[in-house]
Amino acid sequence: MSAEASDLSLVQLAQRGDTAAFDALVLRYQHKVVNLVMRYVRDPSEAEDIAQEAFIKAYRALPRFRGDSAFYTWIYRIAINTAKNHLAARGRSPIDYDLDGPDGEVSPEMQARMKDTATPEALALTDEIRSIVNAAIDQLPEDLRRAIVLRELEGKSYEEIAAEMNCPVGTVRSRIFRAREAIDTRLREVFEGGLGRGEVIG
Amino acid sequence: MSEQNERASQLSAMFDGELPDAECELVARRLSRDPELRRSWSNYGLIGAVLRSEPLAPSQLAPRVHAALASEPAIDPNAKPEPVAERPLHLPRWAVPVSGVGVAAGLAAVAVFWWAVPGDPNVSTATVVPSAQSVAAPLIEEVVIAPAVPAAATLVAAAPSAASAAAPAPVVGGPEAATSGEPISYVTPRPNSRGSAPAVPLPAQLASYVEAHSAVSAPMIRHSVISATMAVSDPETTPPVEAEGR
Repeated sequence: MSAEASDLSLVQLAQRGDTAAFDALVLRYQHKVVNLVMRYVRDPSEAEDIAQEAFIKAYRALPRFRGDSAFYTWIYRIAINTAKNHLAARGRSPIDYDLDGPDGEVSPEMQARMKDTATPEALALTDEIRSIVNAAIDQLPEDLRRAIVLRELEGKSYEEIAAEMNCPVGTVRSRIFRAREAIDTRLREVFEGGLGRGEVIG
Repeated sequence: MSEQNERASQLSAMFDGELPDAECELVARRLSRDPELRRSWSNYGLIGAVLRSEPLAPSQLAPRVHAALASEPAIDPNAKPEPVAERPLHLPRWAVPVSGVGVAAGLAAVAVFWWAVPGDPNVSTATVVPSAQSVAAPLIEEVVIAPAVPAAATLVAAAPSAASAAAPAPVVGGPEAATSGEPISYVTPRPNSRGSAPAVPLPAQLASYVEAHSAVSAPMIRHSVISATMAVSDPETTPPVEAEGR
């Protein structure tokens, strides 16, 4: 079991003409791809254009993807090349990499510069989403919160979390799912009017 | 846990790469069919990005990609990766004619081995002489094949007579042959003492054929082949093949 296997299942469906499966891949990696592209351009709308172009390029190249590398490695490479080509076509250089924190983490300075160029609407929406998610996490029972934080923030596997929380792997799986379900439910409640992110596809 | 929760639990595990591989295909199919599952899937990504304080993708990115792909030609489900084209053999220009000669030489060698039946002088002698005359005429004065049987002798003796008069053949057959004035043979050995068909030493026969057919071989190579063969196949020192096999 691996992220590669789950991605490969979706890739194979998309290769057989299932565009919804490719939508799922986009939904999964859109934040990471935008995060990556933002290291090359600071304008969020420009980053969105580049990310969109990268996903479209990936879709066109999908018949030639044979799974020799992980899908996320492949799409990251496409996104980086797209960003570089975008800058080269405009005779510009990538923004300062010093703005990135360790391990690719976005530094506060970087976030501040991104806010400078984001539209008020986009900023308001992003801030609202963050506050909703953070509030929902705060309301989680301790064992669920700890499990989701260990997974998402520290990137630990279920087995590692089980060892750390001294519980079976199945319990870890259940706790993480329940944490996500609670946050997902809260997001749906707030954005039922149409601002929710996942509902626009499908 | 209800069936819906079980499916969502599988989805969550798949998002983390913790779902057994055997279940991934089934959950992927559900995900592609069910918009609600895709919405949850999308929010899972959002939750992770918020927890890691990553910049969030603009909310319209995924719909824009989806809309753009709608105008793309559909992926052909039957399309296969392009086959790797067979790379043509790239030879340098000078090597093309050489390669042709090499093929011809190879075919000639195969033909020689095919026809060269050890122990059957009628066949071997009769096939060598015409070739020697037509392909490597200048060499005939050196390659003089002695008659092994009367029928072959009539074919052989006429050919080298003029040449051998102008340039005597090298003496290789032993003292008595050198003084008798007869054509000297280093190809056909003497009949063995039991009077059976003469056994032909294979190396000597091969050298003779190579000599007769090698119109393109270098003179130095020819002579070295002959010299080496003569050293091995001297009928005075080398037992016949038939005797060796016993």
